[in-house]
Amino acid sequence: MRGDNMQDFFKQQTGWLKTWQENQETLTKQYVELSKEWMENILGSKKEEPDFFDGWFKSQSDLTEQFREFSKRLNEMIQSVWSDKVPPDVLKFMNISFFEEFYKNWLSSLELPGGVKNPLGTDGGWQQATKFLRSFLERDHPFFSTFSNTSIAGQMSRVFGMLQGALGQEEGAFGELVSGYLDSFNKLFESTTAQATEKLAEGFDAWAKEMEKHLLAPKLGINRELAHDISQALVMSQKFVQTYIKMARLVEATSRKAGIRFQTKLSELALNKKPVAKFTDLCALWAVENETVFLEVMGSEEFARLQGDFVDAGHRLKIQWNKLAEKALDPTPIALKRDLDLAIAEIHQLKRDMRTFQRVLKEMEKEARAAREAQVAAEDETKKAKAAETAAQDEAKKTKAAEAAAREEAKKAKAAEAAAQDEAKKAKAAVKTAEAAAKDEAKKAKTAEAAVEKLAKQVKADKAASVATTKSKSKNA
Amino acid sequence: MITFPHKFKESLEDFNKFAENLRKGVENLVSLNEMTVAHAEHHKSCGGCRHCRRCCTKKELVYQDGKRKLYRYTQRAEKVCPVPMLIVYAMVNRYTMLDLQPNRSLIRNLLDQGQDVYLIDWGYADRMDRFMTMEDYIDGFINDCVDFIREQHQLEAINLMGVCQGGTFSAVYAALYPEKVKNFIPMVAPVDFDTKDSLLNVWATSFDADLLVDAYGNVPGDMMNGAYMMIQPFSLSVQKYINMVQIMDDAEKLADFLRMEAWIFDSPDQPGETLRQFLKDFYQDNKLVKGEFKLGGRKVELKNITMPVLIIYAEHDTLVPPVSSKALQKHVGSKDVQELAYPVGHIGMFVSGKTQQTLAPKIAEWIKARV
Repeated sequence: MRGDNMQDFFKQQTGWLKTWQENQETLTKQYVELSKEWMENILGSKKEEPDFFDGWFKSQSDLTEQFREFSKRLNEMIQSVWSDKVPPDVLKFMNISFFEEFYKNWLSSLELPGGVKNPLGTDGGWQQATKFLRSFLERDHPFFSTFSNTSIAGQMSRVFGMLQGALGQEEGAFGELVSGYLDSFNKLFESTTAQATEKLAEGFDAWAKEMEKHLLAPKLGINRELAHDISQALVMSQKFVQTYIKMARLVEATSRKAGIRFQTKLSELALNKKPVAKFTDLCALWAVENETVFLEVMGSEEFARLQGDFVDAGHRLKIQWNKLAEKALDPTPIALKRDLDLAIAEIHQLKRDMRTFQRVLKEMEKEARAAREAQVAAEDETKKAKAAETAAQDEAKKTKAAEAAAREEAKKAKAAEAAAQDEAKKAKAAVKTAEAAAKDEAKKAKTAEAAVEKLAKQVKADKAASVATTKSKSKNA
Repeated sequence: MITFPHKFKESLEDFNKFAENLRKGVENLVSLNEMTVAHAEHHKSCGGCRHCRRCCTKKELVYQDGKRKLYRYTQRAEKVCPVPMLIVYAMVNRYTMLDLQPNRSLIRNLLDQGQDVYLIDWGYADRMDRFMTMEDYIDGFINDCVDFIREQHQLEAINLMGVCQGGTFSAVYAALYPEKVKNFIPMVAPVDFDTKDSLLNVWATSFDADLLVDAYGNVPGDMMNGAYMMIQPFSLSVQKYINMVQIMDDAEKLADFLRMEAWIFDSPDQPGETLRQFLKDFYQDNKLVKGEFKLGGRKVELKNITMPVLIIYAEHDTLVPPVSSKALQKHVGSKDVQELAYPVGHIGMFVSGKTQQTLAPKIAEWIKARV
């Protein structure tokens, strides 16, 4: 639903909902008024009138009808309109049609002082919680519904259809076997009490035993192998039904126990002047009390074993039907499940091998890369070594040249040293000569000095003589 | 039942309020658009999750092998932890629980704490995955992803967080490749399956896993959901929807509720061989803690987990009881093992207000002290 159509649909639905709510409120007011009247009647302040009860029951019935319609519409709306927004998985689980059941039970539980039962109370209500629970579990609970008529019988129907098609026996004895089988199974799942289921199971057992006798009758037109497989399927079906009955019995007994507990709790609360009258509170109490009782049972090892038997029996049956389906399809050119599985397994193994090879390849690439890198590094090292060798040779040459140069230098140095020594000798000689000359000069100087001294002494003497002469002259003068 | 007269009127009025909520709720349902609770085709950015939403934190596909994808989330903090974290989610549900909406997103909170987050998306198994084994997933894809991240970051080891069944897978991985795991964070992860604290553990020992897988091939997600709902059959099938009516008049709350519903029932089918192995070796024979579990011919010994370990568990978890998660401490070889518990249920670990505020900071703090 898209575009304008959708808008129209929404408009229509919301309009209807508004009307529903108004009706609900009107009816509720009416119901409240009637309840007051009821109280007055009970308390004796007003005389009962025959049509009062009609009004009371009618209003209650109207409310129920209203809500039933509402729940139905709401569920339809969610399923059809909302499906483009919410995944189908969610919608499948979000089945709120059970609201209707709760509402009906809640209304019937609103019983006034005086203990007069209303029609809904006697017709069902919480007293029949077992029925509700089972229908709820089977309809809405995937764990149970996995093995319910919708899946098992559906599968059987398909397999039988294939078998009939393959055998070309849509009519006749085989067709009767098929319809008898499906009919029995459907009835089993549709029964609402464990007792009824047991009765049906007994009938199914008798039918299955009878059928087994006729499986090889020529008029059925099936070969020995197929007859054997169908016979096995019948035995497995019986085993499955037996475990189903045990589960049904346990669920029923547990829900009865939970129902009693729930009722007791309600009474206790009412006696303690805290009655649970609100719809939501009642639902919550129902859920809590049921869950407490059920979990006590479901947590036991006995339940686990029974559940295991039930589940295993269902799986065995499913496997057997798969096998029959394969046989039915065997003569056709249609690819069989086992062929596809083989192909998938093969593809998977190839993928796995490929992954292993890829890993090995990756490792080898890594190793090769490392080897390449090592080689490059080694080549680099070799180049470097060569360069170093060349450099070393150059250095050696240089060293040799340097050595030669050094030798030359040494020679030169030696020559220079010799020259220096010569020079030194010369210098020494020169020094000696100079010293001798100096000594001579010194001697000469000494001589000269002595001469000077002598001369000085002479001069002095002469001077003294002169002075003496002068003095004598003066004296004389 | 005896109903008191004054209560009678009150209860009818209360019901009218309930009915009014229903009516408004229907109007809200009609007006909710694809941006609120939407289908994948409108949100390509989320990489094809079936129930993608506008709130998905931005991420990039960095590695892929068939249906299986590795995403890297776009950083949101300035200072980023130098060691990236790989999150391995369970296969029984979708990883989108970790990033349900902006105010309920462990991923977003981790990014805000500066974590560099990678995540494995297992995809939706189909018939072609019928023969995929735990070896293919753990030794195959998880190992490939870890190697990819190590190469990208030039690191010897990375941080590994495993959630629920993904935590069990991660524990196996960490035991096989301890040198590649710097820190290990199992979150609500079952390790010791020998407990009666969860109905799943009680029931799982009493049926034939071979028959289940042989009958179905890949085990339908619906069937798995059915089993989970059986753990609290009335709360989850009845009470939840009665409570829903009470919030239906609030469009935002209704959208939140529906997002959660969409996640709950978005359960991929389980690859047959992997589930067979998981049920038999773990749930039924408890081989992991017994040291008897083998993957691809190699013995998996939890004592090889020598890196620091942070065990996160939910105290009121009915799917993975605390005792099952906490048991890891007794079996690992690490000397640095810490526990972090929250008073919430399995799902509450990811969406409750309390965990939103403190879980990511505590994880980040723990990692920071170890990198």
